[in-house]
Amino acid sequence: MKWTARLGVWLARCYPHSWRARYGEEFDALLADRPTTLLDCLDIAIGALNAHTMPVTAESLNERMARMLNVVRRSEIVVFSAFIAFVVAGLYLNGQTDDSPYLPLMGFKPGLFPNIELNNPLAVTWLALEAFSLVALAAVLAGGLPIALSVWRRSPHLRGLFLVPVACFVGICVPPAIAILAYYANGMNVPTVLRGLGRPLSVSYGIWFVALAVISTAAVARAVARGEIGAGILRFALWASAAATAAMAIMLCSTLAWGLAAHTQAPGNFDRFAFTGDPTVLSWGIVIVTMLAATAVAAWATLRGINASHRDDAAAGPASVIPSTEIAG
Amino acid sequence: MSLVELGAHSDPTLLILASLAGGPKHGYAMMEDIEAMTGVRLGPGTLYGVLARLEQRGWIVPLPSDDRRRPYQLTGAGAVTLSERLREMQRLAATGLARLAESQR
Repeated sequence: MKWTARLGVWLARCYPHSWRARYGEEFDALLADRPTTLLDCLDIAIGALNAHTMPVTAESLNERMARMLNVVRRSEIVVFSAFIAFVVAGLYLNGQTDDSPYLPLMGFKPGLFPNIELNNPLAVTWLALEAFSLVALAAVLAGGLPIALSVWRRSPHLRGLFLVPVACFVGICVPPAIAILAYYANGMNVPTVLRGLGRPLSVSYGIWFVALAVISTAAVARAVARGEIGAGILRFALWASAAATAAMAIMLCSTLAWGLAAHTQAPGNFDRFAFTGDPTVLSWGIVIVTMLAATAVAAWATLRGINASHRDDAAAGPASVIPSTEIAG
Repeated sequence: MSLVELGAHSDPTLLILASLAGGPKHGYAMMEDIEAMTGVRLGPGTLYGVLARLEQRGWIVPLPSDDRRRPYQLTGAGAVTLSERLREMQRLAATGLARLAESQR
């Protein structure tokens, strides 16, 4: 086989999977029937690019819609999973900051409405982090609850999967609840109780927390992947995903700024490359990397879902006027 | 002057529909027929890009086949579309020729 023929066969593999499934065999037969020139190879490469950017496969409108909705569904599962990873990182930072020397530095006083100093970068960045965490949570609930309700109502065989997050939540609460109950009678301060458990037990609880978060997320993802969900609900959830992702990006920037402020205002506490139970540059760095990865994955998935949704809307135009397919006599 | 030099009548959609108007053909047969008919050599990527669009529009349909080569057939809607395009070109040709004859008198 000449090198141009081999190149042509290799380039044919660059067509999208759905295109290959429909036309791959006959296309390969065509390439085998005639000599492939360099111009043919260029033509095949351009054809593959067009097939990726302007997919036109002879599938029915319903098949195309189902394929698009599957892409949207998978995108939303990825965004939800990234959000959970982001939350775990945020809770870790929040747990470290709680009852730490940073609270008085932020001007937070005990009470329902802490006295926040707006000229204090440490306080303002923390406030922004907490405010946008509520925005992200609201967006996830706005997009996720209709999906969950749709799966619950239309796919009763999947209802058991929704018990998994409930069980995981109980599992997360049980160890600290037991510790608090065990020491409450002695009048000990709760954060002191948790710190008093020592590093090995704290690390073990952290691993337990992450494991239950993963199991819980996997159960929800499975329910959403397999459940019956209306197209309108999936499309709406795309915009909720975009809002959640934007909020995550702002929280990431706030966390970054908070660390820089901590470095400026409390270098003695912050500028330590160690795990001390309070936020340090090491623990903060791990949180930043996790948040950055989660935000990047969520952004990629959201864009992929929106692109699939819009591309199908554009491609559906001409197909809506498919003429009758009467066979010529 | 060949059609490929003219450019105007090298539209792959038109060429494929015209080729299939002569009976069902698979991809290689279409390319050979088009080259013989017009001198235009379609690339395989171009051919299958157009075949996919024509099939989506319902102007051609694939026929069952025992081997890897799948023949396509023109549908009634495809025949109507081809007919309309060729009549437009016929009107254009008639108008152009009449004006040329007029200008050379």
